[in-house]
Amino acid sequence: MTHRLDDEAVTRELRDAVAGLEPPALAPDTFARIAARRANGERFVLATVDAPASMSSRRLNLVAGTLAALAAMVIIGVALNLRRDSAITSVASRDQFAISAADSACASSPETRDPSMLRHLMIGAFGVSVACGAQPIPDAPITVAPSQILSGTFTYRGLTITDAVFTSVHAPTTISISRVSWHGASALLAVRVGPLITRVSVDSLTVSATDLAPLHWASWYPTQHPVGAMHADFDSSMVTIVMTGRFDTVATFSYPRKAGELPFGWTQELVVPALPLTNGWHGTLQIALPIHPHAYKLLGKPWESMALRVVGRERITVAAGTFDCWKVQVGEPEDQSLMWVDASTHVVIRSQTTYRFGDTSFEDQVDLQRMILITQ
Amino acid sequence: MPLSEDIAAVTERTQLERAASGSADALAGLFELHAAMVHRVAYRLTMSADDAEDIVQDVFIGLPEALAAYSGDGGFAAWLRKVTVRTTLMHMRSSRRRAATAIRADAEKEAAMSNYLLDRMAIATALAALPSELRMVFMLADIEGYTHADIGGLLGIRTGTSEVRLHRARRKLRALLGDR
Repeated sequence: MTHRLDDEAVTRELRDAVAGLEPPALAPDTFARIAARRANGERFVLATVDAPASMSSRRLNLVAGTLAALAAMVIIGVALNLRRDSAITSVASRDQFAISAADSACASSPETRDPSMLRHLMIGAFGVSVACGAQPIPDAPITVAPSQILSGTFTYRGLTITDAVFTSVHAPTTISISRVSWHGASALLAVRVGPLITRVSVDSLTVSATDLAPLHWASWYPTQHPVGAMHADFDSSMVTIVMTGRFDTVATFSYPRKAGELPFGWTQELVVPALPLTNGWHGTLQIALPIHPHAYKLLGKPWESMALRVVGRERITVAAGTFDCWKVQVGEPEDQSLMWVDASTHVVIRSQTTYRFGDTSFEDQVDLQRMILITQ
Repeated sequence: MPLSEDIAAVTERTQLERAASGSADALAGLFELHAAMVHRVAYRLTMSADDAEDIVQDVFIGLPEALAAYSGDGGFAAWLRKVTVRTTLMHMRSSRRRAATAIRADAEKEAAMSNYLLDRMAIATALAALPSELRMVFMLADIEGYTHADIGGLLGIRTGTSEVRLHRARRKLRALLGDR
Protein backbone atom coordinates (compact mmCIF):
# COMPACT_ATOMS: atom_id res chain seq x y z
CA MET A 1 0.00 0.00 0.00
CA THR A 2 1.33 3.38 -0.94
CA HIS A 3 0.50 6.55 0.97
CA ARG A 4 0.87 9.91 -0.66
CA LEU A 5 0.54 12.37 2.13
CA ASP A 6 0.19 15.35 -0.16
CA ASP A 7 -3.04 13.82 -1.28
CA GLU A 8 -6.06 15.15 0.58
CA ALA A 9 -7.59 11.72 1.13
CA VAL A 10 -4.41 10.19 2.50
CA THR A 11 -3.86 13.16 4.79
CA ARG A 12 -7.41 12.73 6.07
CA GLU A 13 -6.77 9.02 6.59
CA LEU A 14 -3.62 9.79 8.51
CA ARG A 15 -5.40 12.45 10.56
CA ASP A 16 -8.14 9.99 11.48
CA ALA A 17 -5.61 7.37 12.44
CA VAL A 18 -3.62 9.78 14.61
CA ALA A 19 -6.77 11.18 16.16
CA GLY A 20 -7.50 7.66 17.35
CA LEU A 21 -4.07 7.35 18.88
CA GLU A 22 -4.70 7.22 22.60
CA PRO A 23 -2.03 7.37 25.27
CA PRO A 24 -1.72 4.62 27.85
CA ALA A 25 -4.01 5.29 30.81
CA LEU A 26 -2.84 7.83 33.35
CA ALA A 27 -1.63 6.29 36.58
CA PRO A 28 -4.61 6.08 38.97
CA ASP A 29 -2.82 8.08 41.63
CA THR A 30 -1.83 10.94 39.31
CA PHE A 31 -4.08 13.50 40.94
CA ALA A 32 -3.13 12.30 44.42
CA ARG A 33 0.49 12.99 43.50
CA ILE A 34 -0.43 16.42 42.11
CA ALA A 35 -2.32 17.26 45.30
CA ALA A 36 0.55 16.03 47.47
CA ARG A 37 3.09 18.07 45.52
CA ARG A 38 0.96 21.20 45.79
CA ALA A 39 0.37 20.58 49.49
CA ASN A 40 4.13 20.34 49.82
CA GLY A 41 4.40 23.84 48.44
CA GLU A 42 5.56 22.86 44.98
CA ARG A 43 4.47 25.14 42.14
CA PHE A 44 4.98 25.18 38.41
CA VAL A 45 4.83 28.43 36.50
CA LEU A 46 2.84 27.78 33.33
CA ALA A 47 3.32 29.76 30.15
CA THR A 48 0.07 31.60 29.67
CA VAL A 49 1.15 33.73 26.72
CA ASP A 50 2.50 32.76 23.35
CA ALA A 51 6.21 32.68 22.75
CA PRO A 52 7.50 35.75 20.93
CA ALA A 53 8.04 35.36 17.22
CA SER A 54 11.57 34.42 16.30
CA MET A 55 13.88 37.37 15.90
CA SER A 56 16.40 38.36 13.35
CA SER A 57 20.01 37.70 14.23
CA ARG A 58 20.52 41.43 14.79
CA ARG A 59 17.75 41.50 17.36
CA LEU A 60 19.09 38.32 18.91
CA ASN A 61 22.46 39.97 19.21
CA LEU A 62 20.80 42.97 20.82
CA VAL A 63 19.08 40.72 23.36
CA ALA A 64 22.29 38.81 23.98
CA GLY A 65 24.10 42.10 24.51
CA THR A 66 21.44 43.28 26.91
CA LEU A 67 21.67 39.99 28.77
CA ALA A 68 25.41 40.27 28.95
CA ALA A 69 25.07 43.78 30.37
CA LEU A 70 22.51 42.56 32.88
CA ALA A 71 24.77 39.68 33.85
CA ALA A 72 27.67 42.05 34.24
CA MET A 73 25.56 44.16 36.58
CA VAL A 74 24.76 41.06 38.58
CA ILE A 75 28.38 40.02 38.75
CA ILE A 76 29.43 43.51 39.80
CA GLY A 77 26.68 43.47 42.39
CA VAL A 78 28.00 40.21 43.78
CA ALA A 79 31.55 41.49 43.68
CA LEU A 80 30.60 44.57 45.66
CA ASN A 81 28.69 42.36 48.07
CA LEU A 82 25.46 44.19 47.39
CA ARG A 83 22.35 42.46 48.54
CA ARG A 84 20.73 40.41 45.86
CA ASP A 85 17.39 42.09 45.65
CA SER A 86 18.20 45.16 43.64
CA ALA A 87 17.84 43.93 40.06
CA ILE A 88 14.25 44.69 39.19
CA THR A 89 13.41 44.66 35.53
CA SER A 90 10.23 46.24 34.25
CA VAL A 91 8.74 44.29 31.36
CA ALA A 92 5.39 44.40 29.63
CA SER A 93 5.01 40.65 29.97
CA ARG A 94 7.31 38.80 32.26
CA ASP A 95 6.63 35.50 30.53
CA GLN A 96 7.54 36.87 27.13
CA PHE A 97 10.62 38.48 28.53
CA ALA A 98 11.67 35.39 30.39
CA ILE A 99 11.08 33.00 27.51
CA SER A 100 12.87 35.08 24.92
CA ALA A 101 15.68 35.96 27.27
CA ALA A 102 16.15 32.36 28.33
CA ASP A 103 16.15 31.11 24.76
CA SER A 104 18.65 33.76 23.75
CA ALA A 105 20.86 33.04 26.72
CA CYS A 106 20.92 29.34 25.87
CA ALA A 107 21.29 29.76 22.13
CA SER A 108 25.07 29.66 22.23
CA SER A 109 25.31 26.77 24.64
CA PRO A 110 24.45 23.60 22.72
CA GLU A 111 25.42 21.23 25.49
CA THR A 112 22.78 22.38 27.92
CA ARG A 113 19.51 23.98 26.99
CA ASP A 114 17.01 24.23 29.73
CA PRO A 115 14.95 27.36 29.13
CA SER A 116 12.10 26.15 31.29
CA MET A 117 14.31 26.21 34.35
CA LEU A 118 15.91 29.42 33.21
CA ARG A 119 12.51 30.93 32.83
CA HIS A 120 11.61 30.01 36.39
CA LEU A 121 14.83 31.46 37.58
CA MET A 122 14.53 34.63 35.60
CA ILE A 123 11.04 35.26 36.82
CA GLY A 124 11.93 34.18 40.32
CA ALA A 125 14.95 36.41 40.60
CA PHE A 126 13.46 39.58 39.10
CA GLY A 127 15.16 39.06 35.78
CA VAL A 128 18.57 38.25 37.20
CA SER A 129 19.88 36.44 34.18
CA VAL A 130 21.99 33.36 34.18
CA ALA A 131 22.51 30.74 31.55
CA CYS A 132 23.43 27.15 30.86
CA GLY A 133 26.46 25.09 31.66
CA ALA A 134 27.52 23.36 34.82
CA GLN A 135 30.56 23.11 37.02
CA PRO A 136 31.11 20.75 39.92
CA ILE A 137 30.91 22.27 43.35
CA PRO A 138 34.20 21.86 45.20
CA ASP A 139 34.48 20.37 48.61
CA ALA A 140 33.98 22.99 51.24
CA PRO A 141 37.11 23.08 53.36
CA ILE A 142 35.81 24.95 56.39
CA THR A 143 33.85 23.59 59.28
CA VAL A 144 31.82 26.19 61.12
CA ALA A 145 30.63 26.20 64.71
CA PRO A 146 27.26 28.01 64.81
CA SER A 147 27.13 27.47 68.59
CA GLN A 148 29.64 30.35 68.83
CA ILE A 149 27.12 32.80 67.37
CA LEU A 150 25.70 35.02 70.05
CA SER A 151 22.06 36.05 70.22
CA GLY A 152 21.44 39.75 70.50
CA THR A 153 20.95 43.02 68.71
CA PHE A 154 23.86 44.61 66.93
CA THR A 155 23.66 48.14 65.60
CA TYR A 156 26.21 49.17 63.03
CA ARG A 157 27.02 52.69 62.02
CA GLY A 158 25.68 53.10 58.54
CA LEU A 159 27.77 52.57 55.50
CA THR A 160 30.20 55.42 55.02
CA ILE A 161 31.46 55.88 51.50
CA THR A 162 34.35 58.23 51.00
CA ASP A 163 36.26 59.22 47.92
CA ALA A 164 38.34 62.21 46.93
CA VAL A 165 35.29 64.43 46.53
CA PHE A 166 32.56 63.48 48.93
CA THR A 167 31.57 61.38 51.91
CA SER A 168 28.13 59.87 52.31
CA VAL A 169 27.01 58.52 55.64
CA HIS A 170 23.95 56.33 55.91
CA ALA A 171 21.78 55.76 58.97
CA PRO A 172 22.51 52.73 61.15
CA THR A 173 21.61 49.17 60.30
CA THR A 174 20.38 46.84 63.02
CA ILE A 175 20.87 43.11 63.02
CA SER A 176 19.02 40.89 65.46
CA ILE A 177 19.98 37.28 65.95
CA SER A 178 17.75 34.84 67.82
CA ARG A 179 17.76 31.14 68.49
CA VAL A 180 14.50 29.66 67.29
CA SER A 181 12.86 26.35 66.43
CA TRP A 182 12.20 25.83 62.72
CA HIS A 183 9.88 22.88 62.01
CA GLY A 184 11.13 21.33 65.21
CA ALA A 185 14.82 21.80 64.47
CA SER A 186 17.16 24.19 66.19
CA ALA A 187 17.80 27.26 64.04
CA LEU A 188 19.14 30.79 64.04
CA LEU A 189 17.03 33.69 62.82
CA ALA A 190 18.85 36.81 61.66
CA VAL A 191 16.87 39.95 60.83
CA ARG A 192 18.47 42.97 59.19
CA VAL A 193 16.85 46.41 59.00
CA GLY A 194 18.32 49.59 57.62
CA PRO A 195 18.70 51.93 54.69
CA LEU A 196 20.43 50.70 51.58
CA ILE A 197 21.37 53.39 49.10
CA THR A 198 17.94 54.93 48.34
CA ARG A 199 15.61 52.45 49.92
CA VAL A 200 14.81 50.59 53.11
CA SER A 201 16.23 47.12 53.44
CA VAL A 202 14.36 44.61 55.56
CA ASP A 203 15.39 41.03 55.22
CA SER A 204 15.84 37.91 57.26
CA LEU A 205 17.53 34.58 57.01
CA THR A 206 16.83 31.45 59.01
CA VAL A 207 19.64 28.90 59.06
CA SER A 208 20.27 25.56 60.68
CA ALA A 209 21.91 25.92 64.10
CA THR A 210 23.96 22.85 63.22
CA ASP A 211 25.70 23.79 59.97
CA LEU A 212 24.27 27.16 58.83
CA ALA A 213 22.31 25.51 56.01
CA PRO A 214 19.79 28.06 54.68
CA LEU A 215 16.21 27.23 55.59
CA HIS A 216 14.18 30.34 54.85
CA TRP A 217 14.98 33.74 53.42
CA ALA A 218 12.66 36.71 53.24
CA SER A 219 12.97 40.25 52.00
CA TRP A 220 10.52 43.15 51.97
CA TYR A 221 10.48 46.21 49.77
CA PRO A 222 8.53 48.87 51.65
CA THR A 223 9.71 51.65 49.33
CA GLN A 224 8.58 49.79 46.25
CA HIS A 225 5.17 50.43 44.74
CA PRO A 226 3.26 48.25 45.17
CA VAL A 227 4.97 47.12 48.34
CA GLY A 228 6.75 43.90 47.52
CA ALA A 229 7.94 40.84 49.32
CA MET A 230 9.93 37.82 48.38
CA HIS A 231 10.68 34.72 50.35
CA ALA A 232 12.43 31.47 49.66
CA ASP A 233 12.08 28.10 51.31
CA PHE A 234 14.98 25.70 51.09
CA ASP A 235 15.17 22.01 51.68
CA SER A 236 17.96 19.58 50.89
CA SER A 237 17.26 19.56 47.16
CA MET A 238 14.79 22.28 46.21
CA VAL A 239 14.23 25.97 46.65
CA THR A 240 10.87 27.66 46.20
CA ILE A 241 10.77 31.40 45.70
CA VAL A 242 7.50 33.27 46.11
CA MET A 243 7.12 36.92 45.19
CA THR A 244 4.33 39.39 45.66
CA GLY A 245 4.08 43.04 44.73
CA ARG A 246 5.46 44.17 41.44
CA PHE A 247 5.48 40.60 40.13
CA ASP A 248 3.34 37.87 41.62
CA THR A 249 4.93 34.57 40.89
CA VAL A 250 6.21 31.35 42.31
CA ALA A 251 9.32 29.54 41.14
CA THR A 252 10.52 26.15 42.26
CA PHE A 253 13.77 24.71 41.10
CA SER A 254 16.27 22.08 41.97
CA TYR A 255 18.90 23.29 44.41
CA PRO A 256 20.84 20.36 45.80
CA ARG A 257 22.88 21.67 48.67
CA LYS A 258 26.36 20.42 49.29
CA ALA A 259 27.47 19.97 52.87
CA GLY A 260 29.57 22.88 54.00
CA GLU A 261 28.10 25.54 51.71
CA LEU A 262 27.42 28.73 53.57
CA PRO A 263 24.61 31.26 53.11
CA PHE A 264 25.08 34.06 50.62
CA GLY A 265 24.93 37.70 51.72
CA TRP A 266 25.20 37.10 55.46
CA THR A 267 28.93 36.65 55.90
CA GLN A 268 29.39 39.33 58.53
CA GLU A 269 26.29 38.42 60.50
CA LEU A 270 26.28 34.61 60.46
CA VAL A 271 29.40 33.14 58.90
CA VAL A 272 32.36 34.98 60.40
CA PRO A 273 31.11 34.61 64.02
CA ALA A 274 31.03 30.83 63.47
CA LEU A 275 34.61 30.54 62.20
CA PRO A 276 37.42 28.98 64.27
CA LEU A 277 39.53 32.13 64.17
CA THR A 278 42.93 32.01 65.75
CA ASN A 279 46.39 33.37 65.08
CA GLY A 280 47.45 32.47 61.52
CA TRP A 281 44.12 30.82 60.65
CA HIS A 282 43.10 30.99 57.00
CA GLY A 283 40.54 29.31 54.79
CA THR A 284 38.23 29.72 51.83
CA LEU A 285 34.50 29.97 52.35
CA GLN A 286 32.12 28.52 49.77
CA ILE A 287 29.13 30.82 49.82
CA ALA A 288 26.07 29.29 48.20
CA LEU A 289 24.09 31.18 45.57
CA PRO A 290 20.55 29.85 45.36
CA ILE A 291 20.34 29.52 41.60
CA HIS A 292 19.52 26.57 39.45
CA PRO A 293 22.58 24.32 39.12
CA HIS A 294 22.27 24.21 35.34
CA ALA A 295 22.04 27.94 35.11
CA TYR A 296 25.22 29.68 35.99
CA LYS A 297 27.27 30.13 32.86
CA LEU A 298 27.28 33.89 33.20
CA LEU A 299 27.76 33.84 36.93
CA GLY A 300 30.33 31.12 36.43
CA LYS A 301 29.42 28.88 39.34
CA PRO A 302 26.73 28.44 41.95
CA TRP A 303 28.92 29.52 44.82
CA GLU A 304 31.10 32.42 45.72
CA SER A 305 34.57 31.71 47.08
CA MET A 306 35.81 34.04 49.75
CA ALA A 307 39.33 33.64 51.09
CA LEU A 308 39.87 34.78 54.69
CA ARG A 309 43.13 35.05 56.60
CA VAL A 310 43.89 36.22 60.12
CA VAL A 311 46.69 38.71 59.62
CA GLY A 312 47.12 40.06 63.10
CA ARG A 313 45.60 41.15 66.36
CA GLU A 314 44.64 44.76 67.08
CA ARG A 315 42.83 46.62 69.79
CA ILE A 316 40.35 49.06 68.30
CA THR A 317 37.88 51.53 69.74
CA VAL A 318 34.46 52.15 68.21
CA ALA A 319 31.25 53.70 69.55
CA ALA A 320 30.27 50.41 71.21
CA GLY A 321 33.54 50.21 73.16
CA THR A 322 37.11 48.97 72.92
CA PHE A 323 37.67 45.44 71.68
CA ASP A 324 40.60 43.09 71.34
CA CYS A 325 40.20 41.86 67.77
CA TRP A 326 41.49 39.46 65.19
CA LYS A 327 42.31 41.43 62.07
CA VAL A 328 41.02 39.38 59.14
CA GLN A 329 41.93 39.94 55.52
CA VAL A 330 39.06 39.22 53.12
CA GLY A 331 40.07 38.12 49.63
CA GLU A 332 43.50 38.93 48.27
CA PRO A 333 45.71 41.63 49.84
CA GLU A 334 45.15 43.90 46.84
CA ASP A 335 41.41 43.80 47.52
CA GLN A 336 42.09 45.82 50.67
CA SER A 337 39.08 44.41 52.43
CA LEU A 338 39.44 43.86 56.16
CA MET A 339 37.36 42.87 59.16
CA TRP A 340 38.09 43.27 62.83
CA VAL A 341 36.47 40.46 64.82
CA ASP A 342 36.24 40.48 68.61
CA ALA A 343 38.45 37.62 69.79
CA SER A 344 36.19 36.57 72.64
CA THR A 345 32.68 36.91 71.14
CA HIS A 346 33.53 36.63 67.41
CA VAL A 347 31.27 39.62 66.75
CA VAL A 348 32.40 41.70 63.79
CA ILE A 349 33.40 45.08 65.21
CA ARG A 350 34.45 46.80 62.01
CA SER A 351 34.56 46.03 58.32
CA GLN A 352 36.35 48.15 55.81
CA THR A 353 36.81 47.90 52.08
CA THR A 354 38.68 50.11 49.69
CA TYR A 355 37.58 49.97 46.08
CA ARG A 356 39.80 51.15 43.29
CA PHE A 357 38.65 51.85 39.76
CA GLY A 358 41.56 53.25 37.80
CA ASP A 359 42.50 56.59 39.33
CA THR A 360 39.40 56.68 41.48
CA SER A 361 39.10 54.96 44.80
CA PHE A 362 36.64 55.02 47.60
CA GLU A 363 36.39 53.45 50.98
CA ASP A 364 33.46 52.12 52.91
CA GLN A 365 33.57 51.36 56.55
CA VAL A 366 31.06 50.01 59.05
CA ASP A 367 31.60 50.10 62.83
CA LEU A 368 29.66 48.57 65.69
CA GLN A 369 27.72 51.28 67.50
CA ARG A 370 25.77 49.29 70.05
CA MET A 371 25.49 45.68 71.14
CA ILE A 372 22.85 44.12 73.37
CA LEU A 373 23.53 40.45 74.05
CA ILE A 374 20.82 38.03 75.08
CA THR A 375 21.89 35.52 77.68
CA GLN A 376 19.95 32.26 77.51
CA MET B 1 -27.89 31.22 25.63
CA PRO B 2 -30.07 28.28 26.82
CA LEU B 3 -30.52 28.09 30.57
CA SER B 4 -28.62 24.79 30.87
CA GLU B 5 -25.58 26.29 29.12
CA ASP B 6 -25.86 29.34 31.33
CA ILE B 7 -25.79 27.18 34.44
CA ALA B 8 -22.87 25.20 33.06
CA ALA B 9 -20.94 28.41 32.41
CA VAL B 10 -21.63 29.73 35.90
CA THR B 11 -20.65 26.39 37.42
CA GLU B 12 -17.43 26.34 35.48
CA ARG B 13 -16.60 29.93 36.43
CA THR B 14 -17.24 29.16 40.09
CA GLN B 15 -15.07 26.08 39.88
CA LEU B 16 -12.27 28.05 38.23
CA GLU B 17 -12.49 30.79 40.85
CA ARG B 18 -12.35 28.24 43.64
CA ALA B 19 -9.40 26.46 42.04
CA ALA B 20 -7.62 29.78 41.59
CA SER B 21 -8.07 30.50 45.28
CA GLY B 22 -6.43 27.20 46.17
CA SER B 23 -9.33 24.77 46.60
CA ALA B 24 -8.03 21.22 46.16
CA ASP B 25 -11.58 19.95 45.56
CA ALA B 26 -12.09 22.40 42.70
CA LEU B 27 -8.75 21.43 41.21
CA ALA B 28 -9.75 17.77 41.48
CA GLY B 29 -12.93 18.60 39.60
CA LEU B 30 -10.98 20.30 36.81
CA PHE B 31 -8.63 17.35 36.70
CA GLU B 32 -11.54 14.94 36.30
CA LEU B 33 -12.99 17.00 33.46
CA HIS B 34 -9.85 17.91 31.56
CA ALA B 35 -6.97 15.57 32.48
CA ALA B 36 -7.72 13.19 29.62
CA MET B 37 -7.54 16.01 27.07
CA VAL B 38 -4.31 17.38 28.58
CA HIS B 39 -2.84 13.89 28.62
CA ARG B 40 -3.84 13.17 25.02
CA VAL B 41 -2.41 16.45 23.71
CA ALA B 42 0.83 15.96 25.63
CA TYR B 43 1.15 12.36 24.46
CA ARG B 44 0.55 13.16 20.82
CA LEU B 45 3.09 15.92 20.88
CA THR B 46 5.77 14.00 22.76
CA MET B 47 4.95 10.40 21.83
CA SER B 48 6.17 9.46 25.26
CA ALA B 49 3.91 8.12 28.00
CA ASP B 50 6.34 9.19 30.72
CA ASP B 51 6.66 12.72 29.39
CA ALA B 52 2.90 13.01 28.95
CA GLU B 53 2.37 11.98 32.57
CA ASP B 54 4.94 14.56 33.72
CA ILE B 55 3.26 17.27 31.68
CA VAL B 56 -0.16 16.44 33.13
CA GLN B 57 1.30 16.86 36.58
CA ASP B 58 3.05 20.11 35.69
CA VAL B 59 -0.08 21.57 34.14
CA PHE B 60 -2.31 20.81 37.10
CA ILE B 61 0.30 21.80 39.68
CA GLY B 62 0.60 25.19 38.00
CA LEU B 63 -3.02 25.64 37.04
CA PRO B 64 -4.39 27.47 40.12
CA GLU B 65 -1.80 30.26 39.79
CA ALA B 66 -2.04 30.33 35.98
CA LEU B 67 -5.79 30.88 36.13
CA ALA B 68 -5.11 34.52 36.97
CA ALA B 69 -4.19 34.90 33.30
CA TYR B 70 -7.38 33.29 32.00
CA SER B 71 -9.63 36.00 30.64
CA GLY B 72 -12.67 33.81 30.00
CA ASP B 73 -12.57 34.40 26.26
CA GLY B 74 -12.80 31.39 23.98
CA GLY B 75 -13.65 28.81 26.62
CA PHE B 76 -11.59 27.23 29.33
CA ALA B 77 -10.90 23.95 27.52
CA ALA B 78 -9.40 25.76 24.52
CA TRP B 79 -7.28 27.93 26.81
CA LEU B 80 -6.09 24.89 28.77
CA ARG B 81 -5.25 23.10 25.53
CA LYS B 82 -3.03 26.01 24.50
CA VAL B 83 -1.38 26.10 27.91
CA THR B 84 -0.76 22.37 27.59
CA VAL B 85 0.88 22.84 24.21
CA ARG B 86 3.13 25.56 25.61
CA THR B 87 4.00 23.46 28.64
CA THR B 88 4.80 20.51 26.39
CA LEU B 89 7.02 22.71 24.28
CA MET B 90 8.93 23.86 27.36
CA HIS B 91 9.16 20.29 28.54
CA MET B 92 10.51 19.09 25.22
CA ARG B 93 13.26 21.67 25.40
CA SER B 94 14.43 20.33 28.71
CA SER B 95 17.37 18.06 29.21
CA ARG B 96 15.21 15.03 29.89
CA ARG B 97 13.87 15.32 26.39
CA ARG B 98 17.33 15.50 24.89
CA ALA B 99 18.21 12.25 26.62
CA ALA B 100 15.48 10.58 24.57
CA THR B 101 17.10 11.46 21.25
CA ALA B 102 18.85 8.10 21.05
CA ILE B 103 15.56 6.29 21.50
CA ARG B 104 14.01 8.32 18.70
CA ALA B 105 16.93 7.47 16.43
CA ASP B 106 16.27 3.78 17.03
CA ALA B 107 12.63 4.30 16.19
CA GLU B 108 13.61 6.04 12.98
CA LYS B 109 15.78 3.11 11.92
CA GLU B 110 13.03 0.70 12.77
CA ALA B 111 10.52 2.82 10.89
CA ALA B 112 12.65 3.03 7.76
CA MET B 113 13.11 -0.74 7.62
CA SER B 114 9.48 -1.60 7.40
CA ASN B 115 6.84 -1.35 4.74
CA TYR B 116 4.30 0.42 6.80
CA LEU B 117 0.68 -0.22 6.87
CA LEU B 118 -1.37 2.58 8.19
CA ASP B 119 -2.07 1.01 11.54
CA ARG B 120 -1.71 2.70 14.84
CA MET B 121 1.57 1.10 15.74
CA ALA B 122 3.13 2.28 12.51
CA ILE B 123 1.76 5.77 12.94
CA ALA B 124 3.04 5.96 16.48
CA THR B 125 6.48 4.77 15.42
CA ALA B 126 6.63 7.15 12.48
CA LEU B 127 5.52 10.09 14.59
CA ALA B 128 8.07 9.23 17.25
CA ALA B 129 10.73 9.23 14.55
CA LEU B 130 9.86 12.77 13.42
CA PRO B 131 12.05 15.53 14.77
CA SER B 132 10.11 17.19 17.56
CA GLU B 133 9.83 20.58 15.83
CA LEU B 134 8.22 18.90 12.81
CA ARG B 135 5.97 16.69 14.90
CA MET B 136 4.75 19.68 16.89
CA VAL B 137 3.71 21.53 13.75
CA PHE B 138 2.17 18.45 12.15
CA MET B 139 0.15 17.65 15.25
CA LEU B 140 -0.95 21.21 15.85
CA ALA B 141 -1.90 21.83 12.23
CA ASP B 142 -3.27 18.54 10.99
CA ILE B 143 -4.58 17.00 14.19
CA GLU B 144 -5.41 19.84 16.56
CA GLY B 145 -6.58 22.14 13.81
CA TYR B 146 -4.57 25.24 14.69
CA THR B 147 -3.86 27.76 11.95
CA HIS B 148 -0.29 28.54 10.97
CA ALA B 149 -0.70 31.95 12.60
CA ASP B 150 -1.71 30.25 15.87
CA ILE B 151 1.19 27.82 15.62
CA GLY B 152 3.56 30.70 14.97
CA GLY B 153 2.36 32.32 18.17
CA LEU B 154 2.57 29.12 20.20
CA LEU B 155 6.01 28.09 19.07
CA GLY B 156 7.55 31.51 18.59
CA ILE B 157 8.16 30.97 14.89
CA ARG B 158 7.04 32.80 11.76
CA THR B 159 3.89 31.72 9.94
CA GLY B 160 5.97 30.82 6.90
CA THR B 161 8.24 28.66 9.05
CA SER B 162 5.22 26.79 10.32
CA GLU B 163 4.08 26.13 6.73
CA VAL B 164 7.52 24.90 5.73
CA ARG B 165 7.73 22.62 8.76
CA LEU B 166 4.32 21.13 8.00
CA HIS B 167 5.40 20.39 4.46
CA ARG B 168 8.63 18.83 5.70
CA ALA B 169 6.77 16.82 8.35
CA ARG B 170 4.40 15.38 5.76
CA ARG B 171 7.28 14.58 3.41
CA LYS B 172 9.22 12.92 6.22
CA LEU B 173 6.20 10.92 7.27
CA ARG B 174 5.72 9.86 3.68
CA ALA B 175 9.29 8.60 3.59
CA LEU B 176 8.93 6.82 6.91
CA LEU B 177 5.72 5.22 5.77
CA GLY B 178 7.27 3.88 2.59
CA ASP B 179 5.85 6.17 -0.09
CA ARG B 180 8.82 6.69 -2.40
